Amino acid sequence: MAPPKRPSLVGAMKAAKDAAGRTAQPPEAAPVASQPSPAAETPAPLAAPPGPAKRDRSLSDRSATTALHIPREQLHLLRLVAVARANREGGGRPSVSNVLRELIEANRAALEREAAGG
Amino acid sequence: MPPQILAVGNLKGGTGKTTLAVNLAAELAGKRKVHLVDADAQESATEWFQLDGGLPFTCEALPLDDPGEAAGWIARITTNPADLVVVDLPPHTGAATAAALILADLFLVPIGPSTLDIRAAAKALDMLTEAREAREDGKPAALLILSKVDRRTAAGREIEAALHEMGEPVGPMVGLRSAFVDAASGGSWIGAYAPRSVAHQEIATLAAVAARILKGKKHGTA
Ligand SMILES: Nc1ncnc2c1ncn2[C@@H]1O[C@H](COP(=O)(O)OP(=O)(O)O)[C@@H](O)[C@H]1O
Ligand SMILES: [Mg+2]
Repeated sequence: MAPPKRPSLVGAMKAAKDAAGRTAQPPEAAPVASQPSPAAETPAPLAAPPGPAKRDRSLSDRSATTALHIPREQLHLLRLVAVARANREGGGRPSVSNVLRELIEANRAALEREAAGG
Repeated sequence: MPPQILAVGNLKGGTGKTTLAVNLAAELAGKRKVHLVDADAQESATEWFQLDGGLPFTCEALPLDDPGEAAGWIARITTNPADLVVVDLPPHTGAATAAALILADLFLVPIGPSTLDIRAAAKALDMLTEAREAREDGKPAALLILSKVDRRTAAGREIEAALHEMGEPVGPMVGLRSAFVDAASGGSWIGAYAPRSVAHQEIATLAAVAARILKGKKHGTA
C-alpha cells in the first residue's frame, strides 16, 4: 500500500517549510509584523494530538477488512449504537466495526464453545 | 511565538469551506487574535471581508499557485503576529493545500451531503496522511465536518454514518441554514447576525471543539 514514489507536492512543501524556517524571514516584509525572528524555529512544543493514522496502523496490521451481508435494519441499528457510544464518549469516532468487535468479545465464550463443536 | 494554524480544506467547491472559515475565525476571535488567510484565488473570503460587516479579525488574500513560491507563503503565515491563523483553502490538491497541511495544527474538512463530497474528502485525507508522514510531529489533527446537511433526511444520516467510517474524528455538524447565507450577504458572521440562533450555536460548538484540540487536548476517541 505504499504510495507511488512520484515527486510529491507535499514533500516539496515540507522542504519549503524547512527552508523558510532556516531563513526565518518573510521575503516580502509583513505589513504589521516586524517581530524579532524566532531564533529556534522548532515546532511549538504544544502537546500534539496523536495522529489517528499512526494510532490505527498497528491495529489494522492485525485486522482484515471484509464485507458483511446483513439486513439493512441491523446495519442501521449498529450505526446508531456506534454514534450513540461516540457521543457519550465525547464525540469521537464512532465505528460500526468497533460495535461488532465488542459484540464478539462479549459473546466470545459461547462462540468459541460452538466453534469447538460444543 | 508563531501562531497556531487552522486550515479549512476539501477538494470540492461549495462544501462550505469559506462559510466555515469565516464564521469560525469570528467565533474564535472572541478569545484570541485571529488572522484569516484567503488562499483561494477566487477570493470569496476576501470579498466577504471587504463588505465591511465588522468581522472581528484581520484578513488577507494570499493565494499560492506556484509551488516555487511556497517558502515565502509559509514564512508570511508563520510570522503573522496573530495567535491563530485560519487558512481558507481552494477546492483542489494544489500547492496551497499541500503547504497548509505541512503547517497546520488542525485541518477541518467540511463535507457536504453527497457521495461526491465523500469521495472528494477521501482524496483530501490521502494528502493529509502524506503530510503526517512528511512531518514528524503527528500533526495536523483533523476533524471531518458534515456541512450543509439536513439531518432530518435519511441521506443526511447516511452520510453522517459514512463519515464515521473514514478513520478521522468527526466534529459537530453544521446544518443547512439560510441564516449562514444571509449573514454572509451582509458581510457579517452568524454570531453578529443571529446571536444564539441554532446556526450560531453550531459554530460555537465547533469552535469549542477546535479550541480544545488546538490546546492539545484530545478530541475523544471511540
Ligand atoms: N451551512 C450552510 N447552510 C446554508 N448555506 C450554506 C452553508 N454553508 C455554505 N452555504 C452556502 O453555500 C455556498 C458555498 O459555500 P462556501 O462556503 O463558499 O463553500 P466553499 O468555500 O467550499 O466553496 C455559498 O453560497 C454559501 O452561502
Ligand atoms: Mg471558498
